[in-house]
Amino acid sequence: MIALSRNFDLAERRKIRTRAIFEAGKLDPRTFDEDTLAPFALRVAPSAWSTLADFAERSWRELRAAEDALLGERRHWRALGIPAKSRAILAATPPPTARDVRFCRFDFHWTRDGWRASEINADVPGGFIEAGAVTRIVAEVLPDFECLPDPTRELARAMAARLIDQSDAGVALVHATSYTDDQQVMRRIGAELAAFGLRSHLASPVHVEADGARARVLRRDKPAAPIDAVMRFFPGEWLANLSRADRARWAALPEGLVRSNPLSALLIQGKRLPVVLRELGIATPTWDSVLPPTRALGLRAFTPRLVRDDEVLKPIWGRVGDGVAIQGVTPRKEWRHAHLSARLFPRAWVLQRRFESLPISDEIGDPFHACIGVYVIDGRAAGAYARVARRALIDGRARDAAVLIDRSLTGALAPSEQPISSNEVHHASH
Amino acid sequence: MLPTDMPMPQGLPEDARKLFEIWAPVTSRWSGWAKPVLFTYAPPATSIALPTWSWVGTPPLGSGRTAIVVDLPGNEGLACALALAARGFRPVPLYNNTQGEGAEVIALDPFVSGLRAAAPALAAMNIPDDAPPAFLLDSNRGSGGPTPGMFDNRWVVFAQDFPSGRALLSSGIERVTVIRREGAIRIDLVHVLRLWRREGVASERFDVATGTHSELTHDISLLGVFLGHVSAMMHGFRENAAGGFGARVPLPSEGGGGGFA
Repeated sequence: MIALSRNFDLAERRKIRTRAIFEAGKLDPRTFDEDTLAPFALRVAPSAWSTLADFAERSWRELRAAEDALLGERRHWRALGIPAKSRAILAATPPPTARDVRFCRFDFHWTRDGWRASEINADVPGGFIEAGAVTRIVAEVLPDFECLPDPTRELARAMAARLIDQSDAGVALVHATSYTDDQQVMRRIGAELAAFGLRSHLASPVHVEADGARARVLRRDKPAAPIDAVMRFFPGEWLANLSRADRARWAALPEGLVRSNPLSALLIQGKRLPVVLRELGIATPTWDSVLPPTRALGLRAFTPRLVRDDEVLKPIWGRVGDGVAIQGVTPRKEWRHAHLSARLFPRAWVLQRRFESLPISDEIGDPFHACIGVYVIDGRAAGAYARVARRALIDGRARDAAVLIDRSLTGALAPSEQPISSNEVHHASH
Repeated sequence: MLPTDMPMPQGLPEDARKLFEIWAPVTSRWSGWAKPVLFTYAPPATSIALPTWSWVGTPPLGSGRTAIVVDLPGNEGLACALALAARGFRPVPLYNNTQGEGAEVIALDPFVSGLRAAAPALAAMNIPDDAPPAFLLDSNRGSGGPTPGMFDNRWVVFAQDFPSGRALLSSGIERVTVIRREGAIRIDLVHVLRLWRREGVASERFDVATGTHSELTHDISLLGVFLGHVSAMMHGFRENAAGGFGARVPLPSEGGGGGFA
C-alpha cells in the first residue's frame, strides 16, 4: 500500500537539494543537524491514493457544511477556542461565498487500524513547495513513479478561474513577513499565479485595506497596488494580535474580494471542533471515522492522572504536531511542560484517542513513521506530500518527502502483515 | 535544466547557484547550514566595496576546536568573515531576511551586494573542507522600528538554524567564540549559546573594538533555565516544537507586537 523508495545517493541528494532551493524556492533546507528533505520518496499504491482522496473529499464536504452551520452559532465560537478579537473580526467579515477559493490539507497516518487522520489544516496549510515543485524534481530521479497533481498549481488555477473577467488582476499574498519559511510559500504561490497571468504582492495583514469596491496593498515609497484577491498564509487566530485599527481594516475588506481562505476557516481549524459538533448534534460521519475520538479535558485537569495511556494531549491551535504530547514518545521536559500548560489552561487543550502508527522501512531496514498530507482545493483532492520521522511523532523535526504513485504496488497489505522491525515499539503518531 | 512547466520564484538571479556554491561549497562539512535566501534576491544595480578589516588584540585562529559566531552589523560582518576565512575558518552565512515591496526595515541591497563583492576573494582561498565554521549573523537583525507601509523583514535566529551541540562536539569543536563590537548579545543568540552549554560546548565573547576575550557564563541550573524562559517570554519569545524559540511576529503598525510563530 505504501513503501519508501530506494535511498538517494549522495550526488542525487545534493542535486535535489540545490534544485529544491533554486528551482522550487525551498529556502529552509536544514533544521538542526538534518536536511529537511528526506533521502527517499514515499511510494503510494493507486488504490491507497484513491482511498485517501476519497476520505479527504468526503470529509471536506462534511466539515464545510459544519462550518456553515457554525457560522450561525456564534455563541459556540468561544467554545471552539477562537480568541475574542478574532471572533469579532469573523463576525464583522462577510460570510464565505462561492467566489472564495478554499484549500485545506488533511494529515493521514497508516496505522494498525487502517488510515487515521490527526488533523485538518483548514486555515493556512503549508507544504505547497514540497508537494509540487520539489516532488517533480524528485520524480525526475525516480522516473518509474508518477506525480500527483501540484496543489500550488491547482490553487493558482482556481484563483485564476475566479478572476478570469478581471483585467490586470492582482492578489495580495498575506503572511508573517519576518519569516522566510512563510514567505517561501508565498513566493512559490506567486510564481504559479504569474504563470496564469496574475499579479501578486507580498504583504502583511496590515498592508491590505479597502479601496472602494476593491482593495489595495500599501507599500512605503511605492504607489499602492490594487488587488482583487487575498491569499492568506497568516493564521486566523493571529489576527487577534493586530491593533484595533488594523483589525477593523481587515474586517472592512470589501465583499467582492476573492479570499483564500476566508476567516470562517477558523471555525473548523481548532482541535475542539469535534467536541463542539457533538454538543450541537452536527454529524460528520466520514471525518469521525478517520479522526480518533476527541474529548475536552474538563474535570480531568484536576485529577492526578491527566492523560491515560491510550490518549494523547493536543493544543487546540497546534499545527504540524506542535505541542502534541505522547507518553513514551515526547521528551520528558516537553511532556511536563504540556501537562503543566494543560492543567493551567484546560480549554486550550484536548485529549484524543491514541493510534498506533505503523512504521515503514527504508532499504537498509531503518523504520520511519509517515504522515501524508492530502490537499483539497475547491472540494477536489489536489496532491499530497509526506513528513517522515524515526519517532512516532510527526512534528517540527520531521523531514519532508515527496509522495509518488507506484503502480507496481497493488492491493493493500493487512496491517498485521506490514513489515516491522523486531524491536520496534508502536506509538501513537500525530 | 529547469523544467519548462516550473515557474521560477520571482526575481531569481541567473548566477544565484554559482554564488551560493562559493559561499556554501557542497564538500564543506558546514555548508548544509548556510541559508540560501539572500542568494535568491536580484542584485542591486550598484556594487559596493566591503569595509577594510583589521584585528585588534589576538583574534581567534582556526585551530579546529573553536567555532565562531560573527554577530556584527551589516557588511562589517562580511569583512570579518573574509578575515576569518584567511585564518582558517569556513564562513557560513545564516542571514535569513525576507524581501518585500517598497521600503524594508532592514535594507537588503547592501547585504546582497556584499555577498557578491566578497565572493571572488572567498573563492580564491583554499579553505579545507573540514575547516571550523564561522556562522554569520547580522547584529541588526532585530533592530529598527517599522512605520506603516514598511515591509518588516527583521528576523530572529533559532536553535535549529545551527548545528546541535552534539554535532559540534562530534566534529571536535568544544568552544564557540561570539564576535561582537558592543552591546549585549541578543536573547535569541543567548538561547542558542545556553543550549550549546547544556550539551557541553563553552562560549566566550571577543570584542573586536578592544580585542578582549571574555568568558560567557550561562546558568544551566533548573532555576537558571527557568529564569531564562521567563526572560525569553518577557521578550516575546516562546518555545516551539522543534526545540527553538519563536518570536512575536513583528507587525509594521505595532512596532514589534503581534502573534507568535
